[in-house]
Amino acid sequence: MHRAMSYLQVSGLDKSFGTTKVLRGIDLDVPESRIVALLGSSGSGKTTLLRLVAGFSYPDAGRILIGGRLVAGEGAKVPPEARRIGYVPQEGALFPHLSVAENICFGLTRAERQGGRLDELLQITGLAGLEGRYPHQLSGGQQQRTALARALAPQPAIVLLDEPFNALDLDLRRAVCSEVIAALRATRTTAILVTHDPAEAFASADLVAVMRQGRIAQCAAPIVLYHTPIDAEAARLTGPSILLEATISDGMATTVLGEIALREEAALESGFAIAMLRPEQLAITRGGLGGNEGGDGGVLARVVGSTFYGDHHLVTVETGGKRLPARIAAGPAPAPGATVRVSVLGSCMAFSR
Amino acid sequence: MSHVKVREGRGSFPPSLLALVIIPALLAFLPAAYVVMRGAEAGWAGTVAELLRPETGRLLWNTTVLAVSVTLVAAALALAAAWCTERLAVPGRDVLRVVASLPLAMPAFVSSYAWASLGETFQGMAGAVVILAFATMPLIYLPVVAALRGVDLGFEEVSRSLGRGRWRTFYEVILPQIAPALGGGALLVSSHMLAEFGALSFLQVETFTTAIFTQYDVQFDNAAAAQLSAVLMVLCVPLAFGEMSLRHGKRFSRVGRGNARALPPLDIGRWQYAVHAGFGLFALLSVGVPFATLAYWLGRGTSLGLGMEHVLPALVGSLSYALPGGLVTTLLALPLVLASIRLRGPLVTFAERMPFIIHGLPGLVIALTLVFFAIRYTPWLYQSPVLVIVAYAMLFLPLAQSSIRASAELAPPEIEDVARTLGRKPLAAFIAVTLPSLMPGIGAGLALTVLELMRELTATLLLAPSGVTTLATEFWSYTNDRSYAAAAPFALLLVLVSGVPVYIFTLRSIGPARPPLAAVPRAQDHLIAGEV
Repeated sequence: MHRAMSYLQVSGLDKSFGTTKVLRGIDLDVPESRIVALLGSSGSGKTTLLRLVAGFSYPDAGRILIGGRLVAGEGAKVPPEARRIGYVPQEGALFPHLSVAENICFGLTRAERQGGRLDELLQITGLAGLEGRYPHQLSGGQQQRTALARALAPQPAIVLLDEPFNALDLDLRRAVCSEVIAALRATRTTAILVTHDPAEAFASADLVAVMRQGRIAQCAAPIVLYHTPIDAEAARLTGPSILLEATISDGMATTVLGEIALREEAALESGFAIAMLRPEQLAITRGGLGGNEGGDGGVLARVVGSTFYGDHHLVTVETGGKRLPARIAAGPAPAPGATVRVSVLGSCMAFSR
Repeated sequence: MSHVKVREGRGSFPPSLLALVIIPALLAFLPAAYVVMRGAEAGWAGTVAELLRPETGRLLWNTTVLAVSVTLVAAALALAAAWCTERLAVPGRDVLRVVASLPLAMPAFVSSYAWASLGETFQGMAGAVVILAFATMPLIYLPVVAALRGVDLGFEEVSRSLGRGRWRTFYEVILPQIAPALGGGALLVSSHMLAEFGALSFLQVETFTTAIFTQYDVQFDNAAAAQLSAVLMVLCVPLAFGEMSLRHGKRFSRVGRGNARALPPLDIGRWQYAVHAGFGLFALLSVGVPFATLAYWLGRGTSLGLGMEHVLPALVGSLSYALPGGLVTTLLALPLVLASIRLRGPLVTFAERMPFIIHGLPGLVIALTLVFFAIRYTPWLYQSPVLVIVAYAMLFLPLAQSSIRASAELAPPEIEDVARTLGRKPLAAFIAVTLPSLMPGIGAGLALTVLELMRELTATLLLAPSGVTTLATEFWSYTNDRSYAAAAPFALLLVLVSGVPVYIFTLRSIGPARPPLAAVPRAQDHLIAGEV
């Protein structure tokens, strides 16, 4: 399959609506055949960034290159129809008066429609047999897959997905998401996925860019982002986190949970800081009989609450006046009131205060 | 083509079309300009003296008594009927719903004609109140039914569980929720009463509207007509404004609401026979007697061959004005609706709502306004079909707006964005994906407007070039001459013309199953029907 070079470069992008600055100096590079997730809460500017890339509006400053070609900024104003992008909006936005096949072929020339491209796309997206249906006859997942097939049909340089799974309920959402990502991977398509769900971003993307207040706070591989967020806010945006007051010295953080080894990414001077752990890093064992601190590592804590979630318990323990959530994967959970020993698995991230 | 993007994610709108959006809003100022200019010419002192005459007081009293009484009676009937068909376990509720909506197919001026032809007993204020309340009752009944169905079962159950009885629950929980629908319908009936001309001239009740017509058409007193128009506008504008804001407010509060659960109907035992008897009496008086009378006059007229040779020219006349009128109205409504959805801002909102205010003004006032400005500034337009079309568009724009809006709200603007990314230029994208989704609404709006225009009376009467007749004008002139038999064929055709939209838009949408007629607008959007 012939493909043009797919590579998106965004630099110094500013955008305001009225007096509200929505984007402030955005830089983002998407390597060819990679999927980048834009992760952020609503109002962080992620959809605006996507729409600037698509060409639905133009930046106030900065520039956008798609496949090495300048499409916006420095006087360039390439309209969406000339950018070779695929766009999958929220809820799909299938053309209601057209069948699945007609929707998918909408962006193809007459010659291209003859070439078996339709069958190829139906196969990739698992829609074979549904080509004669109309949008209202499809399930939510089928609608999203049709929207993806329609976006992929003209072999775009880049596919933009704007929270495409929002309308689906949770179970379906995970399944459709993995199908859509599989189809993007199979076609080696470069893509940007806008989402506010960290799990979706981690599972789908090669790189995750955390957006807030119109800036990209951090852009990194999912596993890097999860364990070494750049600050406390990025930690909260990327999943449940435990933040502890800490004193740093010699690569160790002294906290209410004792001394925890510091990750080398946390390049901090000695002094006061915030240490960050994920809940699964807390291990709970039966309380020591002697009640001595230190002992075999960890500190004593009192169980104040426990909630059962099926595949795990979330146990809330209290130590040194601080309440902490801990995940227990299997086995009976300690009852409220019990004394347990809490120890830390692995090392922690830390941010300056 | 350059497009403005005022707000993110709502599609685009070409600024070159903004002029089309502004035109209807500007037309809306003409009636106000007319009464002010006329008043200034007649001299303010004279105008005030004229308005303080006892005659004005008498008209004000008549008009107010009529509007208030009809509205109260119609609201009480509608509320009771809606409660019976939606909440009581009465057999044959589907049939009862149809019975309650039937008067829509028997326009007020036809039932008034029928009762008036039965004798003087039924003419006058008392007769008019009963006849018109029956005729306009569905305008309140249908929105109240829709609102009752939208009330979530949860509210009533929660209220009962908190110790409220059935009646207190109704007053404190149910009534507030259906109040916008009830109020909107009531305001609609009131403004119809202020504008009603045909029915009241048959029933010999003198209100501002009939008095204005007499001043203008019989006594050729333009100044007095303008002064009375000013008073009438002062009465109409608040009603129209209230109705419009209820209508728009309701639209927003309904967004995103799921299907409410249906309540189990209340068993009333033997009282169900009383309900059936009530609906039977209502059907008899609202439709039965008028229809039987019409059939009688039709039989007499046919045997005597009265008026038959005028039927075809009148039908052709009606069609030759209603078709272009409907087309122009629909074409003007399209950019207005699209702008109101895609551009936000006070100016666009104003432009979109102004036609609803104008719609609340009597056709007579609009017609007088256009006559005034045409004679003064564009004499070549006076007595030309163009002026009739302009009046039609001003009066019936909201009808087309509502229809198109129902479709436009279902077509997400994002589909145009998608079409752009797939290689279509803005106009091509609009034609390829948005226009097909709008077609059901455009078609419905066109059909509805044409049918409505075929029964328009007052504006046609004043503005149509001399010699042109329509179904409504012929019906009116025969009835006014007490030639009831000769008027009958026209009445029958007008009933048919009224019946089609009632069947398509109303009876189908209040059926038991509530079919997901995505393209067919809600019934209450079509209850802004015109008055003849």
